[in-house]
Amino acid sequence: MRTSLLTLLIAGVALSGCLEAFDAPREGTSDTADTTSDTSDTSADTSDTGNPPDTGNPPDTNSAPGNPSFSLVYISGHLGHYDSCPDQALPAAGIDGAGQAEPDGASDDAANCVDPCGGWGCEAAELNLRLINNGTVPLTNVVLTDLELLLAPDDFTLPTRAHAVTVDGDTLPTTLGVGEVIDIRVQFTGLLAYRDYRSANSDSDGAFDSDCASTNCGINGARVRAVFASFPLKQEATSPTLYPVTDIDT
Amino acid sequence: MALLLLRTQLVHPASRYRLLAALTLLLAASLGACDGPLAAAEPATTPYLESATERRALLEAALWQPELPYSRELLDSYGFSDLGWELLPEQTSASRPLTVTDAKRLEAGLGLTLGELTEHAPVELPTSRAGWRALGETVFTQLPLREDGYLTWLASRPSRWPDLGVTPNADGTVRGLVVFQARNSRPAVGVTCVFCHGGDGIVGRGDRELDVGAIRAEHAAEGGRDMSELLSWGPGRADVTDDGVPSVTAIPDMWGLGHAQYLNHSGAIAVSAPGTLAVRFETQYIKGHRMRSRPARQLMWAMERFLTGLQPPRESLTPTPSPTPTSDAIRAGRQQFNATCAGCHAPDAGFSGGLVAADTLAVDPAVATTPERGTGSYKVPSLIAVSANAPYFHDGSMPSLEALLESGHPFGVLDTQARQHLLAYLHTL
Repeated sequence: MRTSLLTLLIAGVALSGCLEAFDAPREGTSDTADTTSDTSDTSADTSDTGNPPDTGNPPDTNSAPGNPSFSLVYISGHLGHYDSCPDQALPAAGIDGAGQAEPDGASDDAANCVDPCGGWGCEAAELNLRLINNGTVPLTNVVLTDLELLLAPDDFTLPTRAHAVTVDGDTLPTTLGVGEVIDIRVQFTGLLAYRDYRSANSDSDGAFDSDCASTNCGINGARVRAVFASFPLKQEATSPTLYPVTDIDT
Repeated sequence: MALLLLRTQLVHPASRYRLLAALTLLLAASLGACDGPLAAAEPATTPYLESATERRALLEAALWQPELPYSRELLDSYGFSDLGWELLPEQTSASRPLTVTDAKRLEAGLGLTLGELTEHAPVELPTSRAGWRALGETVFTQLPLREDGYLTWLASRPSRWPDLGVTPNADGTVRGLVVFQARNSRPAVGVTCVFCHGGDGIVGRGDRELDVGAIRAEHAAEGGRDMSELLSWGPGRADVTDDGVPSVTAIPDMWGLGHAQYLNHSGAIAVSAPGTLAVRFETQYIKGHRMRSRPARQLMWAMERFLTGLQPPRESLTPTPSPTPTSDAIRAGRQQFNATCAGCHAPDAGFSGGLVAADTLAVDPAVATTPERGTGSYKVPSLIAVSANAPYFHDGSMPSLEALLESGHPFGVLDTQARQHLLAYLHTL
């Protein structure tokens, strides 16, 4: 019994340390960027623009020998380009089976078109994350379990699906050594136009479009949340607001 | 003389960076006065190159309206030491000019070959101002800023170039279009800065013939999309925002950047210190390459050095007024300018200035109030080589200086003689 209490106490101190790290202001920043957090932390702070301030799991220095641990860090992303392939964009109702990468051979134009597709500008949405094995044992079978779009102003959640989850163009490695760092690219289905989606799905009183000046709900973007798991661990990363690719944005 | 003048509202207060910049310039001037060779030397480094913290500080100082979506996107991802765009791998800095031969191959469906690329990142960094500027010019003209679908389409339609404002160079290359190795390792067509800012073959000059709207509309039409509304942009104009609100602006000349207090017509970016432009360029390249990589920062710093020192080739640009103004007219025009114009177009700041609230101006406020970058103001443009810079205003809506001064200047109209004197003087800038 005494051992169990001691274990709980240690775990509590460790969790407390992590939460403090999330809340701490970042060096030289205005606490707007985002984003990863242990999925057990459901009390993520949000800034006044709707973007959470936390920016990544700090290395877990409390890992005991033999403890698995990993962190996710947001790098970059965009919401794709579907003007010339609107049928490849996310249906307004979302997608069942969100987060699961499609099997090899998925034939979506946008999915297969990581570059301006045949010159027609059809391009899959994308999220780039850094995964760090900061535990003391190798990680095995890292998988993407959930992927969703968060739309302002109330983080309205729209599940989506991944077309590909890759590291340097290859599939995720089956084993990740201690201290190993990989940059993961998640290509997924985005919406045709986020602004239009909000209008079409707004409440009867037009709540989605009201007060946009203070909530950024009028912008053509969304945040993206991804959850990765390596049994028994789960970690999530939420991007700041991402935007569709445009042809001439300077 | 009917004269309505000068209700300037300088919107953005001076920052500590402006003071720092002034002190730096003062120090540089002092060194230059004491030692000639030092005046041409460049410091080995700059805060922009030193750390993410410094870059972040530059960005935050520049984006003085942080809640604008344009600002928000950059502030959310740039300049953090341990996440975001700082973790991106460095882009390739190798390219070669696209040639007419490449275009004909593409037109014939033969595909694009990578060919022999030139690496633009030097093994050793320049040690002189001239060296940095030369490197910056190479970046401006050769480094692919963006890779977009319509560029490959454009490269494969050489027969359409004359109507779209694309002009091959005498050596068979195509200004502003390059071949490079794209992010999936295949050859791709990229666009460099001179695609828009190389008009008449002059580096830095806004291209008055290039019809970006028509290029995109034709490209879309071939792909089955109707984007014919872009035809209304016309040559030399573009809408660079994506906020659903039309805000077409004239492609600007690059002269005067060394004095600029703000970038973008609405002044969404404040130029507060050396490195501000480099941050701006770096974020442009990152977005142009789909946030998958970032440019070599030394190249961005080089481009800042190049553009802040860029002078217009007056002999190639400035039309000779007819009849040639007399020296008396020019002198009177200078006096007129100092009395009525210099309050905004400061002569010691490249005849540019700060911001003016859009609702005090007799111009279309659309660009000043666009959701993505609108500040409610317009920046006071530089008048360097102004007589060769037509059309005028942010949207290119005023065809000539004469027309502008006769009816269109936001702050009023001079009488005929004063106007003629002022025109005589403006031709000398």
